[in-house]
Formats: sequence, C-alpha cells, structure tokens
Amino acid sequence: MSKFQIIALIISLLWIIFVVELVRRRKLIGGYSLLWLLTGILLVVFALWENLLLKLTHLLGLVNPPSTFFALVIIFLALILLEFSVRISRLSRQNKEMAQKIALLEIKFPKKIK
Amino acid sequence: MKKKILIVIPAYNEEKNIGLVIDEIRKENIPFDILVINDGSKDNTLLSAQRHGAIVADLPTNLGIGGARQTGLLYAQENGYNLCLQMDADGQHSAKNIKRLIKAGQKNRVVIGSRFIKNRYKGAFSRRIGIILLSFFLRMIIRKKITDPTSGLRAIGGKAISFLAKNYPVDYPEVEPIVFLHWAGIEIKEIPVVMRSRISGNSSIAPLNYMVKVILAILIDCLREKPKI
Repeated sequence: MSKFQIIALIISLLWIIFVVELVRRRKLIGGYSLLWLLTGILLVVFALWENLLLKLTHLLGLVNPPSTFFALVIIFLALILLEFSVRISRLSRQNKEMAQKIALLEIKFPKKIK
Repeated sequence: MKKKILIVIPAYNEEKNIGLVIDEIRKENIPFDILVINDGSKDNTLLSAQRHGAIVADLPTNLGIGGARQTGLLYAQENGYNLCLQMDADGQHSAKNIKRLIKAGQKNRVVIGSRFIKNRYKGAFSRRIGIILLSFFLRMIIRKKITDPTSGLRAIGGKAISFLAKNYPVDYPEVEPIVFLHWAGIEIKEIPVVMRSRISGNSSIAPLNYMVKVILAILIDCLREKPKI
C-alpha cells in the first residue's frame, strides 16, 4: 500500500464516520444520508483498489488518471447541486403555500389579544 | 353583474405610506373591502393598516410581491368576491383611477391601468427602452399590444380570479400573468391611468437585467404546459 493510498483511506474513513455521526444526531435525515454514505464507501473502494482508476481512465479513453477522478467528482457534484436546486424550488413553493394559508387562517380565526 | 369588490394592497415595510393609501381609497365612495397583505414587514405595517380599518393578511415570512398578490387572490376566491383590484402600497397608484378600473372590470376580464396610453412616460431612458422592448416581445407572443406590461394596477374579474389564484407566477408577477391570461383565453384590456411618482422608497423593477430575465422566464413558460382555466 502506498503512502497516498493510506492517506486516501484515512480521509475516506473519516468521511464515513462524520456522516454516520450526523445521521446518528439526526442532523442529516432522509435519502441524502444514504447517498453520502455510498459516496464514502466509493471513496474507500477507490483508495483500496489501485487499478480501478487506471482501468476507468483507459475505458473512457483518457490519459491522466487524476483528471478522470476530478471529472467524475465534478459531474457528481454538479448533479447533486442540480438536485438541491430542484429540492429548494419545491421547498420554497411549499413554504409559500403554507405562509399564505396561515395568513388567510389568521383572518378567519384572529389571534386573541391578551 | 353585481360587483363584490376587494381591493388588494401588498405591503412590505410601508408603515409610512399604507395609512395614507387606505384613507385615500376610502374617500372614493364605492362599496368595497380593503385587504392589505403584510408581506413579512419588519416595521409596523400590520398595525398601521389595521388602524386604518383594512383587513390584513399577515404573511409570516416575506414572499415577495407575487406571493403576496396571490394571497389576495386566494382570499378573494374563498370569500366570493368577483372583482379583485390590485394596487401598490407606495402611493404610486392614485385612488382616482379606482372608479374607472371598477367600471371597466367585468366577469372574466383583466383590466390593466396603463400609464402610456394617453401620457408620454417621463421615466429614466433605460426603463423606457426596457418597457418598449418588453411590450414588443409580448406583442409577438400574445398578438396584442400591451402598452404598460409592468403596471401593477389591475382589476381582475370573475374566473380570472380563481385562474390566477391557482397559477400566479411568483418570479415576475407583472408580465408573466399577462401571458398566462392570454393562454387561458381571458380578455385583457388596458385603460389609461395617472400614476404619481413614489411617495418614498425605490421601485423593485430594475430595467435592463429585469427585462432580460422576464423574457427568459416567458420563453421557458412557452416550453411548459399551458395553464388552463
């Protein structure tokens, strides 16, 4: 195992521990916890399996393995950001509808003034 | 048509203007209710509006002008109003226009108060260009001339109320509704109105970059499924 592999492995494991801890404290809920855990596991696989990146590079017809890695990471992050935008749009729509409903309900049932 | 009229005034941090605006409207001797939408103001807009006798919908967060106007339409729909008048809280829209808007307002019709039918607009050059281009662009899509597409002074009648309550575009709440209404087959009519310069504060409609965004938004709307009544 090369020195770099060890560092990569440590970082990946720290990542997984961090995610698990967030889930345990309920700071991270829903489908995303699974996604980020899988990301961590994938990082571990890349750290342990030296040739995977090389093979992937050849497969994609690229030359430089680190570039392959970065390209994959960037594509992954872009997809996640897009997904977040979709989710934010949905949340703001729901938030708007709720605010409107609250305001209209308060007209029907006014707050009691002490 | 017996008109049951609701005047909707979205207000964000307008404690100084809102009372004056309400009082001015009340002087017009027409039976209507006034609904102020307090759009998450940080000042005393809520109290000020209540003190002047308006019904107030108090939004817990700031939704922006589109979400606020939609709240007014939802209220109108729920309470059986058949004419909904949209005004601004900054005092730009003179209450003197109300009577004529109400007169022109009819079932399934939207009336827009236009500054430019009779008067030449004297605003900043860039804004004038913006409005002319926007108007031209709109004309290509809806095949009808709208001289003042960014006017917020409108009378919305009948089915148009429930249609817009359901399909109110939040991002560009002045121009996009015109396109939506056109698609839904609702008549749009412009009448000349007089507007004052603002009592205080700044307009949220920034000319050039606003225009580009509006046009993009409408082009995207063209790709979407068209809203129907």
